[in-house]
Amino acid sequence: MGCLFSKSANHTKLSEDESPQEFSWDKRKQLDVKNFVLDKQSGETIGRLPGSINGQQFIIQNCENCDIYVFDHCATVTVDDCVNCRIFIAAIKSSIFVRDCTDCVVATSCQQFRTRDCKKLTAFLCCVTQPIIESTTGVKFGCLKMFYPQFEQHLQAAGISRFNNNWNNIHDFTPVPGENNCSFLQQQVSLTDYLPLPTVEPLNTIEVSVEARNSVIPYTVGSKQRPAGHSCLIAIFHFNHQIQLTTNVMAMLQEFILVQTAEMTMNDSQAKRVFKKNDCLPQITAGPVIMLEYSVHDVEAIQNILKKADHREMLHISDSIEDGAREIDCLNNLTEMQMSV
Amino acid sequence: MGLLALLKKLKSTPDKELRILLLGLDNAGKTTLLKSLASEDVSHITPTQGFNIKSVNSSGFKLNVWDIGGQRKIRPYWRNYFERTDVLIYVIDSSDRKRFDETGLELSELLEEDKLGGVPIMVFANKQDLFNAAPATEIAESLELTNIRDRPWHIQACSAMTGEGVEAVCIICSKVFPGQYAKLVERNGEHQQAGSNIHITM
Amino acid sequence: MKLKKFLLRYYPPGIILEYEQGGLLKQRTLDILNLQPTSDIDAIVDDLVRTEKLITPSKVEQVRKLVQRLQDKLAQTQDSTFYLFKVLRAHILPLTNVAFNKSGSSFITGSYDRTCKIWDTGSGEEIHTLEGHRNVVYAIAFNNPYGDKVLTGSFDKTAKLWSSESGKCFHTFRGHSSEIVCLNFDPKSTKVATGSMDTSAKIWDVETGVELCTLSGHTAEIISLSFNATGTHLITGSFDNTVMVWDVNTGKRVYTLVGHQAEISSAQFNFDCSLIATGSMDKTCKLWDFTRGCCIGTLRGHDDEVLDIAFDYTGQRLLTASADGTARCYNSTTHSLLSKMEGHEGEISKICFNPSGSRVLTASSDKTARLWDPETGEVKQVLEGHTDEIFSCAFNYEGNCIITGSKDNTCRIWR
Repeated sequence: MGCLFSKSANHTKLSEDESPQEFSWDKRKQLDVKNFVLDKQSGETIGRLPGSINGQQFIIQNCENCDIYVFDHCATVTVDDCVNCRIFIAAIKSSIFVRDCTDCVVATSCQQFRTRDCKKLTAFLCCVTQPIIESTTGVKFGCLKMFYPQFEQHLQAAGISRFNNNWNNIHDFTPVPGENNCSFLQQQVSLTDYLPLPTVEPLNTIEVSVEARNSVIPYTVGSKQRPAGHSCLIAIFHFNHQIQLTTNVMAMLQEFILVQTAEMTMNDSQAKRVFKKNDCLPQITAGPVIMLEYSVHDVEAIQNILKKADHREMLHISDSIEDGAREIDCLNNLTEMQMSV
Repeated sequence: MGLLALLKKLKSTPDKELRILLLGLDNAGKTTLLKSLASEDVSHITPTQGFNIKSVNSSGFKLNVWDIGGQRKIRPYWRNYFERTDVLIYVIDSSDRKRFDETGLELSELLEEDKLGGVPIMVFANKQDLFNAAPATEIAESLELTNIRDRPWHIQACSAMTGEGVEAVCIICSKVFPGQYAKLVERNGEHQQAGSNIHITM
Repeated sequence: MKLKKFLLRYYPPGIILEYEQGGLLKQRTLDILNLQPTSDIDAIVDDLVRTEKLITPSKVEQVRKLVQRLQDKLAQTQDSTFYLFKVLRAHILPLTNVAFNKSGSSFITGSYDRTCKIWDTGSGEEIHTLEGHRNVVYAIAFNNPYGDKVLTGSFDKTAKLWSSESGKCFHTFRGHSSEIVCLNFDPKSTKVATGSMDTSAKIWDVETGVELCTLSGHTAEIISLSFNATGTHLITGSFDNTVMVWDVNTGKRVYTLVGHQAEISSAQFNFDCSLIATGSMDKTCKLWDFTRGCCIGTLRGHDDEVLDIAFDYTGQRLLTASADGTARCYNSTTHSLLSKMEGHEGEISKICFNPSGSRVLTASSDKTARLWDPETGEVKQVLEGHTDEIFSCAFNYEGNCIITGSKDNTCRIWR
């Protein structure tokens, strides 16, 4: 970073604010706060359309029995002192902090998910880092399944990779011996079992789908609920049609259970440890690799289906169930290691 | 880094290294500030479960910055890290008005700690990029910083996310240790940015 | 003299003779330090018979069987793969050090959360939490080979002695004016020694909890200390670039090992305590003759600080681990380089042999621990999974179990 000495650092006393340095926030225009703060609402259905928040902070507090839908990307979100609310916030660039809330549903994609002093929460997440809870009981976690036309764009604006979803890996700062403060929702559970789709104008004009097959966030059962059986790793190397190929592959493999996904950049030695082949190294390390872990009885089934895929050379599929097990193990370790500072 | 390096950082070497302690409530932005100081990517940060340490070189000084997790449950352990702190940086989420009382309380308790007696404190009013952020002057007032008499203090508006205001950490070191800093600056034939002159007063 | 019983010592290989002399039961150990899986058993037995009068012709066959068992044991632990057995998440802040008891049935972990925990290795269950310290529990030790006591040293400037069976605290040793960062029991478990950032070391009585003496002389922090095998002497390694040798009974300094150009990171005795090895941040490791107190060799080659060193159980080989991310294995007699272990992507902060000497274990800031073949320097296995730096690691006595303590707040058991 280096050290920038402000131009007028002459005779500045320690206790006074620094010289008139111009910051970006000094020049920002005034906002209509009402758009970004929901306070003391009761029994309302409230929505925000794409483009209405556009990366600003969003605040929800003291609300009761409300349905809140934010179809946009936000900077950071706090949800305080709410009861019996159902909240959807499409994409959050940094953290969402839920505090002193009871009986609420939160569905969101975010960089960090935090709770404190909450009871009976249901959270549908795509969370890039490990979600944390503190002094919170009765939380149910599930994987966010969501589609609306601008969702992909909002995820990108918020810097969220849909493939790095840690919804299944929670850290509890206040565990209770012998009990579990959180549990995980089963695959069949639909978001709309907890959070109804909006029916009022103009929210109902947004084409929303909560089906797994339409979801922009791949539906994953999570490593904590890995079905009995074997694992197969599919890796899609980085190239200009990477996302398209990934979407095609997932569509072709709809019948299989997707356990978890990851998107990460690897160096040579990491790539060698996971993939064990030296000839693909330049492709593997060229850019972020997308990885999909499927649950299978044998890998041939997947290999056969994917024979028909375009750009087959940009795909890696586990050769055998033994390889699959080893690759997934290696990969799990790497993704966890990459999460820390 | 290893345990031995941690022990080395426990030593006092005031003419070469400064030990900086980064405290504040959870979600204040401490780790983002740490990463920003170290010129690292701030877009993928996990809530801190223990602590993070980074060494940042600044004009010949080595700043050993300790970023400690701020969840309520682990605040009692802040005390583990007090000894030999040269500068305390207290980070506040300026947009989290609901918790101004809570952060004020934690700060006032820190100011009463024997082991932090006389340690200069720098309050970072972080997240100024958010519309709901209270300006630094308002925060200084509500925290009653002007009542602090027993040590040098400073409040700095910043956004760890954009990096603005973060360089103030270097400035504070120059003011807190003017003697050593001036010597080092001299010795390293340090840069003068675009014609500015540095007058360091106590 | 009448031979009553044979006992086996696996690591390093040896046979212990229990015999009666003048109405008293005594013990004598026959070291077989050169035993290898390929050694000629008959030659070894002949040698033993020739030098040890207690082995009468009628006992020769039994001795042969015992030496065979020792050899089989050495061969056994050659190439087992380790698998993650359990992740222990009971600490709420980073771990510091970890250590096994002699039998390997339990181990202890120290942490920034101010506790030390005792665990059962077989089940991975927590047996006791030793609470009472007011700051980081940094240094920990069992009173091996007995294993009935645990000593903890803390940043709160005190050390505490605990019962490993009941978890009860026997004594709190107060007197240091700064953090305690290293400690040990003497071999007979009658005394304990603590080393501190206050530049002094202190020796305390286990029974009474009373301070016996203060070892003053270092001009900087003491970060490593070891008793010799007979408990007569103690060595302390310090950030003042020197190692001092002390007489435990008088508390007087016997001599100072001067020569390193930077802080000492570790100081260790070899098996028969004829040698002291010292690792330093000056990038070298030095070997010293214990009797004469002089330097007999300097091992150079690392590009960065030497952070840890370790002898194997026989004392024949020496390991050095460096901040440059590599480790080296040397012949401790000839000082020749036997192998280089390269592959870690960060500093190696801890290194040790398994008891049989067939494997080397390293712990690194790259979040992995690795197993190596010390003959070839080849990496045999990468133990990954920790999500942050690994601060400490240890092998159990059998060599079939590894524990790693990490900054990610967890300890992992590998089997």
